[in-house]
Amino acid sequence: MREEVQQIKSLLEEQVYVTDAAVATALYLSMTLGKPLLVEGPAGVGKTEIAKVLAKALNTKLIRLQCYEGLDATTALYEWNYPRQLLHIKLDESSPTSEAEKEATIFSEAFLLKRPLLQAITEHGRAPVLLIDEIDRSDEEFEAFLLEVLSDFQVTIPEIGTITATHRPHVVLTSNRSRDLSDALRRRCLYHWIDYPSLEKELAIVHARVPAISETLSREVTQIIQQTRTMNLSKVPGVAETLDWATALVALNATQIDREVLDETIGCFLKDEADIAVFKAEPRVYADERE
Amino acid sequence: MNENDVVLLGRALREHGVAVTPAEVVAAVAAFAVIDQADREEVFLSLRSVFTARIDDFPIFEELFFRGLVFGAFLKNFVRDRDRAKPQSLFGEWVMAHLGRTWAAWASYRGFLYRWRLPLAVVISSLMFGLLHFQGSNTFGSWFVVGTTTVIGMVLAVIRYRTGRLGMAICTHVLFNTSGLVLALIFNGS
Repeated sequence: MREEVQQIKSLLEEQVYVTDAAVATALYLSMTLGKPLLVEGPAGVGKTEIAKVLAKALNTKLIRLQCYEGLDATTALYEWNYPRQLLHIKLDESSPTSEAEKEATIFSEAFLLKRPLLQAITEHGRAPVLLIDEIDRSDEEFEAFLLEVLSDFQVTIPEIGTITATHRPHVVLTSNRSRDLSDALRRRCLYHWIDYPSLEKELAIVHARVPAISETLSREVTQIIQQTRTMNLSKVPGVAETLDWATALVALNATQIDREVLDETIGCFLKDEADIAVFKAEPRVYADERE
Repeated sequence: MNENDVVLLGRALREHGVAVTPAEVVAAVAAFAVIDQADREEVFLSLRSVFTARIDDFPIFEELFFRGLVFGAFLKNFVRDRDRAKPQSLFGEWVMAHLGRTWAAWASYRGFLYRWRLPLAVVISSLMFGLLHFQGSNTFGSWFVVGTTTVIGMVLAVIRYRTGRLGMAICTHVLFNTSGLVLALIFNGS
């Protein structure tokens, strides 16, 4: 294994993120080749966490762009601070400056509201980590716009000119696959898939993130969660839910999971009435053993 | 393995339905230059992250890498009689450089290894495939996964050898991946 990859792996582990060679290799390549990293996988398996942990590990700023339906270029890139411009004109009414000068002032950087993409490009000092979260929720138009920004890392503002990134940000995109992304975007990114972790890995994650938990309790928690994932649920619990549940159990001073504790805390990992019914109808985890 | 093989792998992927772009081939060669080329897992993970763009590409990539390149290299170098008509293996040089040379020397002198060369090729290439699925913790569960994937790898390698076609191995791999889903649907469907 390359030394740098090993280094990234241990940096991530220092930030209490249980990882493997695949994530470390993908991050190493993404940083070395300057290509964005597209991370796909089911909800709650730690996709967003990769970017957060990377920013912490590199000791740099995390700039997050949360995508949603209807997100457009202005909200993602920049806007003019319109009320401030108006006020400035009002205050400046009596001054003898010419029309052109006034215009130059109100369209200067002081009146520019930098949104995440522009922030990432103009960030001084160190290359920031740019997290474009849940890109599958945005519209196709926005995806096309993003392609342009991600390939050149420069933005042209008509009133100011072209701004080019001084430090190329490390870009991480995440997607839950609620919509199929265009091939154009996919092919420009490195690809990484995160699945639900195996029992051993999930156990390691629980121990790393909830250190107060006992060995037997953590094993019970992960086993039940792993079994729950095989059920026919509308919302399958992710690692985030496992950690929530483990934290709740520790807070309740539970030493083992009996039926009473399970009933009290079931909301930690099942967020749907119908799913709870499915879970309770399942004899192997609910009815038999936990009387 | 050298840069040339990376380019050929990209072309092979395109032939099997993964829309690899020229820019990705360039990126793959660049990636290959900055990684530890002797670490098979790292080569596999790096090329996979560059060449694939969705989870559906994974089985195709795995087949082309393990049954096409790794197992193909074994076939080309040690099990020539039935496989002479097959196209040149991309990984030949690479595998030879790492463990092939000694084995080839042995195999030519020792009857035992000579007789068992095909099963050995199947087992060794599948072990590489199985070890790639190692979960990183020394427990029964993770070794069980390694064991089962090795067996699956052996089945796929035999399919590749008997049919002489990678397409069959890819289909079986995809079928196997989806069979788990289908079983889950049948048993949890009620």
